[in-house]
Amino acid sequence: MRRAVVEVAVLSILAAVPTALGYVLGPLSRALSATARAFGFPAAPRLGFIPLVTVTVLARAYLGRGAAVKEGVLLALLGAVFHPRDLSLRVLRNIMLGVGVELGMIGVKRIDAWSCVLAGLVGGALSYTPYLLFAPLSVGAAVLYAALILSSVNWLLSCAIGGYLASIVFRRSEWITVRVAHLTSRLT
Amino acid sequence: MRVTRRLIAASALAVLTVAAVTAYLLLQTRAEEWRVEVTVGDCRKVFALPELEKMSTEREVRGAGVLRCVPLVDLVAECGVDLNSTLVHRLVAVGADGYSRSVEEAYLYLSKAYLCLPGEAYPDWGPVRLVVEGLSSKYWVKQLVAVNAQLGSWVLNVRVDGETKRVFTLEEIERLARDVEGIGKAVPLVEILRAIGLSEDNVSLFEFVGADGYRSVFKGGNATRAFVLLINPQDWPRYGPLRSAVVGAPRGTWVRHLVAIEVITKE
Repeated sequence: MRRAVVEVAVLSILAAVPTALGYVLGPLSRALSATARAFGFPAAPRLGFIPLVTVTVLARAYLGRGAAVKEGVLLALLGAVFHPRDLSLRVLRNIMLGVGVELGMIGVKRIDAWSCVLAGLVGGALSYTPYLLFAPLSVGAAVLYAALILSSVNWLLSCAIGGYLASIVFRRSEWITVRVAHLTSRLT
Repeated sequence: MRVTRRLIAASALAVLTVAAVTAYLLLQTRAEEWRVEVTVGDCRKVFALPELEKMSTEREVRGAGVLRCVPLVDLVAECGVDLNSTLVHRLVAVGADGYSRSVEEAYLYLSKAYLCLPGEAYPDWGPVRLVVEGLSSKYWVKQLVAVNAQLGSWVLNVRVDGETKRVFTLEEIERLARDVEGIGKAVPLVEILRAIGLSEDNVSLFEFVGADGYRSVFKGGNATRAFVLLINPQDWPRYGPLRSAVVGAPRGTWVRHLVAIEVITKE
């Protein structure tokens, strides 16, 4: 029971991070898009989604197996509250992110940058699947598929960045894992 | 295990980068192949980029400057829809990246919806972007490939302080109507206000909105002189099923193809 309390606390703190950062990342995202546009690039990193990947990977790193899925569900609930208009997309997307990160981290004993990047990529690939439901896959023009590939690659690279950021944060805050383990062992 | 993981992650990143560069080059060299599919009910029309370019005219787009755009209503009309008797209730726009947005009560925005062709000005927009003036740019779907317009019968949307309060069907309006001397079969605005729990004393301003975007605004004091006219079907091509009328006001302020009444209440 108390292990669950500590887990919920850590997951909730992590889930609050993307919401809090949203106020900063919104304008930053626009600035980045404008810069990319100025250089003629058709895409810019999905800044808004990067923190979601980072906190999901961090949840798995701090709390162990199953935590990424729980974090994904929590992010889906928050998404449903704050963005009710995109309910079908966001809820499924965030849950799939959690599932993907969990899959990407199967068998990981020691958290390093590569395992976090890989978890981000797998999480990114699964979280993109809801968008594919609406993608015009029946329309047979090469340029449309090219645009779809470019968008999904842009998404995946953003997720890889999120995973890498998670590894940096984790390296500097590994003590949280120890503290959580300590707290739960004392409380149970 | 760690080496394998590193290898997989590094290979995945390399493959993704190559895929992105290839896709970008393909997009740049074969943009004219871009197509937009417009579906209206059972009718499906596909418009290639050169075709859209021919149909486009220059217009000022908020925050983006002057661009070549095609009014969406022109593409819907290509399906032979009679927009004098039916309304587009819902619009669903889909981008090549799978991003999709739906616009409810679309008859309020159809006249302000455009397919804009940014050329090389906005590479992230893709060859075509849906622009809906009056709606947040979240609804402006980039890399537009499909638009689905769902039709429905004629309605009168009554909005109070920017929110839809009630949507009257034509049958409901007919039930409220009575013969008004000098005007014909009409519903007094005060009756409509009463039906949504408002009295003319609460109204600061009211505005009639046509399906073509034409608007006419009046002070609340004129509410007792305002009517919604029911038009005979033979005159629908000219006036639409509903028309507004304010006794004593110039005919130019009477809105044809009436779809909405916007009411601003007193503080």
